[in-house]
Amino acid sequence: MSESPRSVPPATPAVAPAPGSAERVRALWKKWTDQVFSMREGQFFLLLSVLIGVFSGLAVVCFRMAIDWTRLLLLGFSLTPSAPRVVVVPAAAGLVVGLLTLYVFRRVRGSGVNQTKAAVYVSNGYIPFSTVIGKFLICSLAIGSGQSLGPEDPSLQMGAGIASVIGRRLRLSQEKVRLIAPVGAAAGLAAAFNAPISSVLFVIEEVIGTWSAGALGAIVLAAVSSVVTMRSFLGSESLFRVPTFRMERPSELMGYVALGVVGGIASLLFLKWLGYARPHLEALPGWTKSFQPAISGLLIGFIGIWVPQVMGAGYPIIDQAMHGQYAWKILLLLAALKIVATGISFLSATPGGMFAPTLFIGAMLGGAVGGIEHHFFHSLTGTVGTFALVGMGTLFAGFLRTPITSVFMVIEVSGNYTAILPVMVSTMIAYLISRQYHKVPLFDMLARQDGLVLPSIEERREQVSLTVEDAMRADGAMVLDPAEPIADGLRRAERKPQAALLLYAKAEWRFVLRDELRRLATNSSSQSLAEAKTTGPLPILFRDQSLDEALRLAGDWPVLPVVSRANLATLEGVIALADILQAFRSSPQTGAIPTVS
Amino acid sequence: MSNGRQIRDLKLFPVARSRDRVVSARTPGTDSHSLNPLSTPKFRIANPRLELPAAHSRQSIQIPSDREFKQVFLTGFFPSSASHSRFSRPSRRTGYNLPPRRNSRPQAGYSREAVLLGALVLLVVLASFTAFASRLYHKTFHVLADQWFARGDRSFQAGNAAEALNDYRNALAYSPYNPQFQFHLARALAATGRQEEAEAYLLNLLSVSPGSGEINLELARSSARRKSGMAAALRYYQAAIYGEWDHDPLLMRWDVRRELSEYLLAHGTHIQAEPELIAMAENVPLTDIARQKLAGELLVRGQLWDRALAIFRSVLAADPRDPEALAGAGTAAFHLFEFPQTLDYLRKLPPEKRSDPSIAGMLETSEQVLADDPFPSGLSPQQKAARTARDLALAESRAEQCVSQRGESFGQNPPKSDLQKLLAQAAAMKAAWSERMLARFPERIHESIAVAFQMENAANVCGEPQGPDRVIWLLGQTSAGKAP
Repeated sequence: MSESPRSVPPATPAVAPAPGSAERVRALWKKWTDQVFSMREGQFFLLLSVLIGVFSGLAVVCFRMAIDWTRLLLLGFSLTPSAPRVVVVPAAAGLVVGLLTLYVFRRVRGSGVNQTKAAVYVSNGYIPFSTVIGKFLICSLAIGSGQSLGPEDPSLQMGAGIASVIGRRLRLSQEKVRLIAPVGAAAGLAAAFNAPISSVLFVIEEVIGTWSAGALGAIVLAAVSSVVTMRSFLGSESLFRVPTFRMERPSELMGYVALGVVGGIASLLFLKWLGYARPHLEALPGWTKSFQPAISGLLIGFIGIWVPQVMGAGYPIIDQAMHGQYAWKILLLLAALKIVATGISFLSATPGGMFAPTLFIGAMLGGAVGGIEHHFFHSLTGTVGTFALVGMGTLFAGFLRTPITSVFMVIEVSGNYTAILPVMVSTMIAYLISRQYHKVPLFDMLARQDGLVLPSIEERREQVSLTVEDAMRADGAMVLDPAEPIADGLRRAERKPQAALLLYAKAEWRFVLRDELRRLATNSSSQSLAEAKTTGPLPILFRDQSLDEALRLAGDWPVLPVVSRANLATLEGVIALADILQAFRSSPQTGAIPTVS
Repeated sequence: MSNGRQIRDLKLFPVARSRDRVVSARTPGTDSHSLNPLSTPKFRIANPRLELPAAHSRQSIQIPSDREFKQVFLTGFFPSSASHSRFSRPSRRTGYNLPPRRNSRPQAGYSREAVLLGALVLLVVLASFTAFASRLYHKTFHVLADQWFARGDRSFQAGNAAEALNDYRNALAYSPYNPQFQFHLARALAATGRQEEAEAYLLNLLSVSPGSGEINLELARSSARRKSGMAAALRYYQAAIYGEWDHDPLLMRWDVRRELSEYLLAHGTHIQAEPELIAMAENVPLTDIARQKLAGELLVRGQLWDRALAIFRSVLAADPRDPEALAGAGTAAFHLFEFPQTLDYLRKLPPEKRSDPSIAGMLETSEQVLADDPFPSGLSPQQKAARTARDLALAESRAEQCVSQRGESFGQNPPKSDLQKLLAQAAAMKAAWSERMLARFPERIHESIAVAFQMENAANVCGEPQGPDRVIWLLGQTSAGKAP
């Protein structure tokens, strides 16, 4: 019996095994990265700025903690350490700082602001990550050991460095890599200062140097996300407590006028001293640079034996000054000694920032002026603390030459809009005094001493901005009517042989050659100027436009019409390439780079 | 490295995503040196949807050389041509971050996805580390702050305010926004005589907690220490009384009211103190003997005798032998002209208390008053008459002295002043009000003693009564001495 063939079960189609969780994750990741990287670069840049902000915020949080920990370890738990400790610790730490700066982390000298600016304008946004590490370690040691410097400028540079690394690793276009450094700078500064608006303004004023920043949105996003990150770990309190600000009578503004004058003079003295001493110290032999931070630490230590308040960033002392803890004479002494100590620290090329010392000096000076005024005018409602608050902004404007940032910083830190009038008055006076007697701002001066010429918003403000109105000729053209008889048009044209002939037809301005007009006149079949051959349409200009724009449009056109914004058919004048060049030549801007005074 | 390869490696040129497929930037029919705008990098860069190269070289982000500038980029793209030597080595002098040497070894490239993943992983790691570190940081600082604060408290309680000030400052350095630290620092500042600085801290605290009883109380005390600070002190005291207290609000408010009353009494403003004293007396806890006695003492100082007597009676109900309550009740009773009660309270005092000059004076006066009182029920008509006649004679004598002192005549007819009228009346009733007649007709005692009391009262225009006259005057103030 033959066996029936076994019934072979029908072949089942092969079922693909269910994707595991790892594969699902991988697929999700791929989908997400596809979405991210298919974005326009501008959109991706904005997303990246949030990431940069978070990274910078975390870095700054660690940096602030590192400074405090270093201070605890080196100087102990008390605000007034013992005398031997006060002298030995800054000197020893200075020695380590000097050696590290000279041999290990060679790019971390300076405050960080100019270095970031140079990265933007010279190195196309390139800041190596070793700079970030070096700045973190060395500045923690320097500031924590008592050098009279602040953490904000290094935070700015660290943020810029982090942004630069991220931008390069993600292979952004070169333009974006250049722009990303200021984004990171704003993030770092915002987290260090807990003041996002001021940080954005400072980066625009000082690092980018122009208000037409293409990355403004990214800068703001990065600053906000870094502040949010920082506040998540360190809380939202300000670096110092600000007293309630009151001003009952407008006449009290005179008190702040006096503060502005004093602040301006102090800024001037500080600038002159740095400007004079720095080149001399830089000219010393290279091997001395390893000892300069140690010597500065020693000098600051000696000052600190009697006045330990001048050591470090000084925020607790600012807080005390704001609450009337010191008599005006002590405040004046603290201001003077802080100028000395900060100058010593900075001139020794110890890495660290100028923000905190500037605020300290301003607070002490402001408090001193307030104390003196109270002594003579008891009816003043402004307390010593309110003068100290305004004083911070005053010196910020006079010394760092960032008036807009100064005003917003005081308002942001105090959370009180009442302070705006005194702050504006005082900062403007200090700024004007400082600018009048020291033409070059601080950071520009430092850059030029180092052989770099970096753009400056102050210089751009000084530049004469030429408009079309400065170059146009009101009577340089004659407008022909298309409906006009040719003979009439020719007759009118011959009365003004130098004028350009323009025709407005069909919402366009066109140029008519005189020869064409004459040709039409001899042709008996031509009736009106509408039949003329014209050149055009001509690009139009408005009188308020810049001459740069006019130059771009001038091209080979013989003239360009300048028309009214209210009615494009109304000709206000004409402008030619020769007119533009003549206006540029005769403008007062010489184009020379001002020398350091 | 040839220029062509350098150009290819430059990441500005878009290539396919795969890192292995590096497509030359040269499109067919063109070369990189061509000026055809459609094939220049600038055009490609201007189209952001085009992808960036997968292959990455650190070197590829260097600034191209001058030659590459001219060949590849429009001059408008880079505003200034870069000097090769500037980028040859990092500047030690300036510390500026310049690109590395052009002949450095290129690093291995990673895909952007890998970079992004790495960045996110690093972010998580860094955030975790930061969270851990910040927790440790905050914990350490809190511990340090608490230690300094505890040390400051010990110093303050030991009376060493200067050292406490230093300790509180250190505590604040580690916890600058702690209101409790600020408050204690303010107290230490006030204790060391630095009122303005203390006020600065307190005002700052007040702006945050305007209803805080504690802060208002400290401000009141600070203002009270200033010569011209009474108005501010009163304002802050009132705010403290009606402010918020964390512990025992009723008792704290009572204590503040007591302190305010003491302040007002010390400045002699009895009228202003009166409502506070009354409110304090009304709100004194009935079971708190110490506070009741305090209230009673203040009421005595404020000359609110009836309320003081009521409070002291309440204390004596709980402890009849309490010497302070007995003294207070006796004093209040004396000033209320309740002389029997005065004697009753003051005689119960221990001898050492009774020897106190003011207590002894009140005792003696009370005994004299009662000795001169013609109305006690146990007296015989003769004794009553004798006392009445004596009192009348004394009063008459004082009245005559006063009239002479004022230059008035005795027998003026009709009499003009009250004293003259009373003297005339006494003269007219001389026979009827003699001792013998008063003993015989006791009903005349009231009328005659009343005239004596009136004469003593009227003679006060010539000065306070002294000696026996004072006794008679006091007798006249008692309820028994008033007209029936």
